[in-house]
Amino acid sequence: MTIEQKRDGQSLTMAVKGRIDTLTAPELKTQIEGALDGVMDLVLDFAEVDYISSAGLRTLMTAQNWMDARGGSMVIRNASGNIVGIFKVTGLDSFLALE
Amino acid sequence: MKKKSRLRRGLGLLRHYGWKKDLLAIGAAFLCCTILSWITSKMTGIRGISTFDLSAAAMPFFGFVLGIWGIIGFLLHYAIEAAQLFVLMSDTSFTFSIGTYVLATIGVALYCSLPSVLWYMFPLKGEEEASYPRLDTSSHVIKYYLISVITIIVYLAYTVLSSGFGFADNLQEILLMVAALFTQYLDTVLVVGIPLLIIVSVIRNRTITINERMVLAFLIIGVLASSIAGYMIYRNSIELKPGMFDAYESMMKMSADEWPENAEKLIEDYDTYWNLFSLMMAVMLNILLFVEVLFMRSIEKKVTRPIVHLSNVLTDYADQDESGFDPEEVRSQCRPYRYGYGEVSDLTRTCVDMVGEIDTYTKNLQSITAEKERIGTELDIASGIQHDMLPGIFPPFPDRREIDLYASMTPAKEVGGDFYDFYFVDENHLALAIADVSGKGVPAALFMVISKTLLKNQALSGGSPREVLTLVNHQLCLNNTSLMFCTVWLGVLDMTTGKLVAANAGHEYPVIRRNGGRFEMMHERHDPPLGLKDGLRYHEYELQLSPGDCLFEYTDGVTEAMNAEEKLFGDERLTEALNLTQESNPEILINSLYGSIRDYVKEAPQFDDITMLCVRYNGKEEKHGETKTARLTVPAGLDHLSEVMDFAQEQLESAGCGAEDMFSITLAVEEIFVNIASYAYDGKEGDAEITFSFNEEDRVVEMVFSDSGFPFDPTSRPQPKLQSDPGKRPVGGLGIHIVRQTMDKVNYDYLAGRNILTIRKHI
Repeated sequence: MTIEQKRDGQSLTMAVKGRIDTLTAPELKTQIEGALDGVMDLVLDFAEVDYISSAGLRTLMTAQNWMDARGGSMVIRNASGNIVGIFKVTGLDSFLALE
Repeated sequence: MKKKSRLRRGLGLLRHYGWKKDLLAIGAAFLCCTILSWITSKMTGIRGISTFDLSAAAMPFFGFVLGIWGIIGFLLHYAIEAAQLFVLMSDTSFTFSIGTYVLATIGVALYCSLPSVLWYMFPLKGEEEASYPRLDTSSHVIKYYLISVITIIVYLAYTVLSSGFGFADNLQEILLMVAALFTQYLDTVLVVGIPLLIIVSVIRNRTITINERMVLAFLIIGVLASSIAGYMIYRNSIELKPGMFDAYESMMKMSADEWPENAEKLIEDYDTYWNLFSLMMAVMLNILLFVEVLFMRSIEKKVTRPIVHLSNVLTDYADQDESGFDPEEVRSQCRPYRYGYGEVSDLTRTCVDMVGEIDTYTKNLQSITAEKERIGTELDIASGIQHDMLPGIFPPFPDRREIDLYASMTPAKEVGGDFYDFYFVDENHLALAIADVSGKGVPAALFMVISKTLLKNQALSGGSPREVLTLVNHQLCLNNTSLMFCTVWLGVLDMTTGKLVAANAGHEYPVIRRNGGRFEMMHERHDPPLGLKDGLRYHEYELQLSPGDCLFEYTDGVTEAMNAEEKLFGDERLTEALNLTQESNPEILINSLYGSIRDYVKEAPQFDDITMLCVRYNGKEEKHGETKTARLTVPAGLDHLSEVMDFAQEQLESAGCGAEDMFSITLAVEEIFVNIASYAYDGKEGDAEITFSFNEEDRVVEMVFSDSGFPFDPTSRPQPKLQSDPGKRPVGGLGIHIVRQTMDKVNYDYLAGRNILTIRKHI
């Protein structure tokens, strides 16, 4: 998994590439946490994410909680059908903003 | 060194009990002496003639009993007495100098401490150190007597010498006076001192020896006799010199100036009377004491000492361990008392005989115990062999998915007569047997071995249950003179159709659950047990099992398990217990039933073997096309996750799995493996085994995850609440939720100590 960050004022775009599983999810969490200073709009680009497990889902839930807490927003973009399917199965689709 | 320590003991210096108790001892001694003095003063006139005092007897006594503290208490009393005397005498011509007082005090201190010192300085023959002063034996009585005499003589000698003979005119008078004092002192030391010592001894030892009783008895006789004699002398004196006592008493009430002319004569008569009395008392007491000692020495020689000796010998004998038992030793030690007449010799002989008998008995017991141990060991081995004869590996046929089977046998005694058995008669037919042999122990076990072997041989040669039982019955009846018999239930299950053919030779009714209903007892036809009557024809019946049906067989150890009130477990409780759960896994069913039985009987002992057999028919295994399998075993740790994922991906690719199914199955694999790695072994090391199988015909992927960690059924977890705010959701449960949502089938089993989770998906 690799992550590309793009900062534009108060908005941060993170383009994630590869698999978010039990082993890589903690790194995603660390990266988001480290870059969050002053960010109000977090955009996660999942165009090149081809796999996510429950560990990854928990990371997304944590990130969403962080953004909620600071009154910001979080958006997940370009998620593939499989991944949207998992969001639906777990009920996260009603909680995460998908574009 | 020894002498020094004995001296210290004699002076009572070692007796330091803490200041409070010491002060108490001083006070007690002081009080006691004062009371004795007061009693003396009330006894008419005795003090008039001498320095005699009843507390004189208390002096050695306090030295004996309280040590230095008693002596101090007495000296205190003496000082106060002397001071009173000083005040009383100050207006008379009597000179009472400080020097006299000091000399007298030294004498008193000597008198107090000498008995105790002598007692401890000179232990008796046979004593290492002198024991606490006590009159428990005649030797101690003699010792006490001698010490008293010596002390009195020393004290009187000291008093006479230190006074410089100033109190008398001539030697005759001195000797007379000393003799009078001697007898008086001796009287009090015996009459007051001895009872005091015995009282203390009884308080200290909580017992009174026979010698102490005897001394007391003789003392009482002596005092009574002297009193009678004293009275007679009194009468005699009155007759000889009428009015003497009245005149003396009235004179004593006057002051010295008013004394009549014949005062000196009166005093002399009076003294003579008292001296006579005390002399007579001393003589009587001495004679009686002498008799007592003689008597007691004889008793001690003939009775007490032999008994003490015998008691010691027997105590030694009883204290020895088995190897040290030697009746010869006892015999030789008892020799001096064994030959003779009287009760003690009888007792000794009886004891020696008894020791001999105990020895013989012990030797017998040792050989019997050895024999018992040998039999016990052999029975253990036999029990082991018997246990090994029953198939004990479960699942017994892991590759036969048509059935699940479990059985158990809990023996009551070392070896029993119950058995169960199961084996494939041919590719398609499974024989099941359960049996109970009459009786218990070795005979039952032997008969069980014969029955089991015959049954299996006959069944394997291909007969139907009816034929097998008929033949085995015939064989068991040959030469069965001891009329052993055996109840058997024998069934043969067709694996493809589920048809069960069974025959029952007097065995318990099977319990069966069909079509997802409840366990019910099946009252089928019974024939007589095997081995009772030759030539019997046995009958069989058929039963159709559907997939999921369970058949349970057992022996009477189950239904006749008894609780402490001797109530049986019974058929009803059996079916109730089986119906407690919807579970159909045979191992779980049997274990839960065994738990119910244990809960029922509680601490009551198990009387009979408890044997159970349960089989679940799963239906014919669907086999179309070829099934590919692969297996991976890795340590259950997150660092092996990639390995597992690669294995799953590889297998799925080779099965031609599409991207979407690939995504969901690998996701399920990750979730399950992460679960095992994180929780199954609770931080300890362990393995996870993953079996992949794929059937090309129906295109079903099956993956089995197995671990030997803590039993945990993930499918039993409640579904996470999807509608609630996911931010407040507990972190767990999400993964297994995904698995259950995305897979076609998820199944959990706990078998033979392993968690087994199976997932299936059609691709």
